[in-house]
Amino acid sequence: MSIREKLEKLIPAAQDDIAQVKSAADLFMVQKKYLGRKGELAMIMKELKELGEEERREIGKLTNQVKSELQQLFSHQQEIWKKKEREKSSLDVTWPGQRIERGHLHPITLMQRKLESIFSSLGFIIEDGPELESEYYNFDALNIPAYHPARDMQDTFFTTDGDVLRTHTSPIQIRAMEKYGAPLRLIAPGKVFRYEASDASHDFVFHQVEGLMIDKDISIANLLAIAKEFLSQIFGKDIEVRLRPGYFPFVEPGFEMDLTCILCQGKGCSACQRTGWMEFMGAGLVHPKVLKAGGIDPQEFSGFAFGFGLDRLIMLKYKIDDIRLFHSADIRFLEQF
Amino acid sequence: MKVSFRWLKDYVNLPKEVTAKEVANALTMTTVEVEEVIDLAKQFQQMVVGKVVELKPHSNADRLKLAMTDIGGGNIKQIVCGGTNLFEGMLVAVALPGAMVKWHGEGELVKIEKAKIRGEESFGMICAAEEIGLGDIFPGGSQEILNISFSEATPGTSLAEVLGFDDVVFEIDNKSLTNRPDLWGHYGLAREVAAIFKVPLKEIELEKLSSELKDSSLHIKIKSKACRRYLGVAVAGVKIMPSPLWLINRLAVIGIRSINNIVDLTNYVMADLGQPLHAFDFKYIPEGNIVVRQANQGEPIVTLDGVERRLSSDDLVIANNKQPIAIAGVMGGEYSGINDDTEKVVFESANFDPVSIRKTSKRLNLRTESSARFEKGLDPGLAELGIKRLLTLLKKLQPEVKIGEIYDEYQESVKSIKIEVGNELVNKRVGQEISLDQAQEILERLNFKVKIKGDKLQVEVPSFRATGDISIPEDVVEEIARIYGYQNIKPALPMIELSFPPQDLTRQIRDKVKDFLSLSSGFVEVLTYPFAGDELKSWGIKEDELVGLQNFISAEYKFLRPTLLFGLLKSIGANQRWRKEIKLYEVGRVFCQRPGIFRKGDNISGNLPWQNYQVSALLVGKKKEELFLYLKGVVEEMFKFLEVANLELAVPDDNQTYQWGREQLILKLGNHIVGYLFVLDDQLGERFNIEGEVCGFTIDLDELALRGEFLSSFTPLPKYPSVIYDLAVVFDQGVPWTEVEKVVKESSCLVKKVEPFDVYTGEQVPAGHKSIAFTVEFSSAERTLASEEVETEINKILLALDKKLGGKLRK
Repeated sequence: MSIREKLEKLIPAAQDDIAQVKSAADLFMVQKKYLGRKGELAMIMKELKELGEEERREIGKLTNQVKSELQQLFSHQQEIWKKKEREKSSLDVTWPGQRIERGHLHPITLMQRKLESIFSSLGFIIEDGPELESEYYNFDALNIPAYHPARDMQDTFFTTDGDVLRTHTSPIQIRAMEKYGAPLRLIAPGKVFRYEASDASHDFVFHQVEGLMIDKDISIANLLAIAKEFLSQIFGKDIEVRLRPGYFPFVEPGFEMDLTCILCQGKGCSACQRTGWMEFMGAGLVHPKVLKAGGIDPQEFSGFAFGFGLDRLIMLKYKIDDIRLFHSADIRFLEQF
Repeated sequence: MKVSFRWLKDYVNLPKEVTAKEVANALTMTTVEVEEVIDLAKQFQQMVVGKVVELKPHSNADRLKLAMTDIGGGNIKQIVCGGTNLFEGMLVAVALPGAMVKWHGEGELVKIEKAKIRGEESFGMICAAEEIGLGDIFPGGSQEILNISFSEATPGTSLAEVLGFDDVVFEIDNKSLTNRPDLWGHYGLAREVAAIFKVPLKEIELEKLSSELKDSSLHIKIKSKACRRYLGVAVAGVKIMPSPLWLINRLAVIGIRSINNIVDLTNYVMADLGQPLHAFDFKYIPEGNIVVRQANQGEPIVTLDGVERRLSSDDLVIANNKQPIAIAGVMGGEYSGINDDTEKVVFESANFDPVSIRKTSKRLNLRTESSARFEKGLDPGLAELGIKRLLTLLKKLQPEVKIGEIYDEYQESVKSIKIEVGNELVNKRVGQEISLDQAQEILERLNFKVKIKGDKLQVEVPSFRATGDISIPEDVVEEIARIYGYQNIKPALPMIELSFPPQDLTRQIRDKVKDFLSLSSGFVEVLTYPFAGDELKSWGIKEDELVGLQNFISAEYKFLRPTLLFGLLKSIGANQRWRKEIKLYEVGRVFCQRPGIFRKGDNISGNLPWQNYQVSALLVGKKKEELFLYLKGVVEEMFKFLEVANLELAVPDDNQTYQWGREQLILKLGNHIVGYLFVLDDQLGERFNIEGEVCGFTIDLDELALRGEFLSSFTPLPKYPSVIYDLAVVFDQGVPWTEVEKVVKESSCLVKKVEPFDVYTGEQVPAGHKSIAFTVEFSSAERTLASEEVETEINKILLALDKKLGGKLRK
């Protein structure tokens, strides 16, 4: 067989071999057979040396042509096989994702941080105070003298030394006034304690958030606006609030603040006893005696204060029906947050 | 407190279209919280008065009878009944088919149907008081049929109407009345309703009474400042008997049980005006001598409830010549009270110091309707009104009684309170413009006397609001604002100067610790109750270090926790029901008796007990070696995250060990121990039924904030490549890794890092020895190291290890 004949047969032969190919690996072997260092084309090219100069130029040209055609042929086949291999992937994308170990923050921490960030953005200090508190800060400085009936409103834990577990976060008001003076704006989240039997909606340890804003000419209208704003931020929708009279000795006037029932949007449902409103927090304008106790001149400054249950807020948001879950340390509960 | 809507309407003429619900809502929005509105008639639907016209035996049951009962208009029905007290002519409560009753006074409400009982037709049911929810008001048990013959009602009349239960009752939250002594009776609430609905308030009906008795003078002596006013009057010719129906009804509606006409009248006036009254039998007040004095220390009295009580000299009593006959304002004495044979009565209407009453009532743990009112601070004027009201009603009830002179000892009259309130103050506090005229009109509706002078209101507080409730301008602002209507105030954001809040380092540390543990290390944050019990003592904690509680929920919560560990251990024990390997932590305050940083207050010496924030984390698993080293890594990395540069982990001296730990390290910042990393004492794990090994750490976060050096600096990236070499060296078992590390670092200044990656003990090394495999990283800041140079260094290292620690290169 002449070299030319050999060259001319090379492409059809390759095509026949390619037809037999079953995998990308087969293709690679076939490609090696024709285009490899010791492949058929290389063999033919060795023979070129034996030819005369003119013939060599002619056949050389043909050889290059065949080579380029073969290369094209194989690169085309490679594409086809690559694609086929890709389609044959063993990944089952519907298989469940691997379980990633992740820790959990307590829902109290999560909600507390949310509130802290909302109030921080308005320039409020995030303040803290002792949980084991003196009677002075917990009661007297807040205009609740000994033997005042208002002490009944909060069943108190007493230590053997006569100190108290704070019954509310309000003593932080006085401590902060002493520390910072006026003007002042702060929130103070923290544990509070009540000496009472626990049930699904009461626990003897729970969490409150105290709010205090003291400046010149702080009004009821200001309290309404701030409350409406922060509640709307928490719930991510427009919340309406309303005030009604409430009695707390450390404020004057004192209010109970209700918010539109977040379950029925105020239409009336069983959760809000068909009123469309949910009791949310106690609030009021800071009593002049309390400002004085904190060393602030009530002639110059006024303020509002509020306090609400953090636990109850989380219960509302996640529809949790038992407050005792917060202190249960049950991982089945905590891992949901 | 229960309030009858009908009773309120005695004093205010409300437009017909105003419903009870609207009144309740208006009170909630402007005065006090009405917690519940109860339509009493609802529970008496399909119940009528029936008259038993004939009783026949039941043919199949000895205990049952067939009561032929007139249920109205001569409509006579057969009703099967087992009541033992039935008689012909008796008026009874009949529950017709459709009515809801409580079977034998127990369980859920059941609907009455027409039925056959032991073969006899029965059209409804003849009820016992308990079966229709009246057991408290008409005691008698479930066997005895409620006899309402006293009502003389026509058969067929609705039962609710006859018993006065066609009324609506408001349940008012007593706590929201704490500051309003004037609202502890119907008249006071009616006054609010009148102000809200702008209708006139009717006057209390009083008869002009003149003394009709000569031989009944009283000699009242007040010997204590705790009694401000005492009115007494003797009444002769009184007949003690059951109260008339209207009086029983009125009291029953608000949940007060009828006793007899005299006691009921005092209760009625209390519910009407809020003034507690008391009735004594005159025969126990010899010569009419009444002394109001402090009790003698230890003086006994048996109170109306039959309990003998020992009094203290802080208690105020009403006494005759010899002994106390009542604890003032709290409860009367047993023997001096009204009996069936009492003929001559002394009525008391007084005013006592609220603090004195409250002290006594708290000390004796005796809270009564009377003490609840006096401790709020009543208007002394009310005492006079109360006694006159009582006498007026008594005279109506028993016109034949003879009333004596009213003796009135008034120690100190309350001064009227005048307050000047600027219009500007009102507007600034409300945040909205309320005109002077409008403010005046509102205050006058609330019975304040108001004069306008310039831009100021000159306000005179009515006596019933002047006992502490209203005393400063802000109190007046509240009155104006609430009647103006809080719903009419438009929200407005405050206009204030900007300022950045100070940052709290300890809070930031707590937050970062939580972030690191929960978000990077897979721990679950828990909260546990911050208490602990006696078990602490068995672990060597002395009681005088603990903060104990006077009152506690249960014995296991007797002390404030001195450590977070017990709560966490308890949680692990409980959670192991769901999972064996658990990682928990808590951040919270722990308590100890020694003084901490918080002051108790101005002019109060001493600080509150120590109460720092700590974090404790626990890890439960199979091998303590792995757990401990994992936790050690967590601690080290956490301190890097906190940017604390001066952490040192050290083996504790004997006097520095953590009592809960076995193997352990102390966490030091400078010379201060701020925490512990430990393998938990096995006994403690067993105590809490924990499966597996427990490791943990405890860090005092406040101490950390104080002692930490918060620096962090950037290390420049190396300019020249480093050379890494692995070595395996055999040491005696007792050689700790830190020693090896130290020697390696000391013996060559080109060593940048030394890290162990394996420890081997076994056949390949001599007994009592271990082979430590470690990586040494060499580098220089000036040049690329040549391999000969490194080999020289390695030889230096091996030599030093051999010389100092007896380490031999493993072959």
